[in-house]
Amino acid sequence: MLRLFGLAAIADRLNYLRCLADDDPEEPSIEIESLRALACFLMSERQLPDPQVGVTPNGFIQIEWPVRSNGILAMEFLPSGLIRFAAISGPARIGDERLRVNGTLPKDKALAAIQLFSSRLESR
Amino acid sequence: MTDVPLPDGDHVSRYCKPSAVDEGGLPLTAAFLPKQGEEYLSVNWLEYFRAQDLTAAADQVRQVFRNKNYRLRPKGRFAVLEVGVAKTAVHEATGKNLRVSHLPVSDDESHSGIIGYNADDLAVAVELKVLVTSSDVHPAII
Repeated sequence: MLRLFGLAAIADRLNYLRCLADDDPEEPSIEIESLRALACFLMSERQLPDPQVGVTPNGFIQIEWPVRSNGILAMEFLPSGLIRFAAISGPARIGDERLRVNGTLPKDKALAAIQLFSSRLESR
Repeated sequence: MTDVPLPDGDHVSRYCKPSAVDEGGLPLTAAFLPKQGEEYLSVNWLEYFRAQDLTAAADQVRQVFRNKNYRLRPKGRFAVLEVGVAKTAVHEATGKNLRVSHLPVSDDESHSGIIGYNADDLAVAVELKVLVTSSDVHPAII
């Protein structure tokens, strides 16, 4: 399904992660509801660049993107359907306060919080 | 089990499984999340080995993993954190007071833990992840 939405690289990465769990008992098995939540998220938010994708020790899908000046935006897809997110900006100039946001919210509210973070970052 | 705080200037390494390493070979935030129910993030204290530098200490850690029959993977990585830097960054960002303590076990005398957060604390894991640059990352297998 992801390939139909132009997300072939993500599909390949997820297949790799699934194979890791199949081949190595030390690797976490991916929680299917977390995987489903990620797929729905990415298919509905096609404007986003492809994130890096990994798996938490609990088997939840975790994605992330770099944020300006050595910052990061991370999301974790919980089986409940909620998104846990945390972002930190790098300092644009020495002495600048680093911007941060984090929470566990439904998708739309999580995106709203992240949008606010991005707007503050861009206004600097 | 003893619980001795590590000096702020010392370093710990975290083994990052391939599922928590990005396609460029850098650890993802997931690498710094404890498993649900675990009280700390397992790490190894590098100065324990009294090696000439951190690269040599990382090689000692590889040997520890091999000795306990833990199968390191080619795409796994060891990420190195400085104890005091990690504690300060997390405190400033989240208000949490992490402890980094020596928690030796019979088959791993350098075993240590980052204590004070849990599997739900993605914000702490993000703070730890951004401290790690490519120069802090060592391959699991050389």
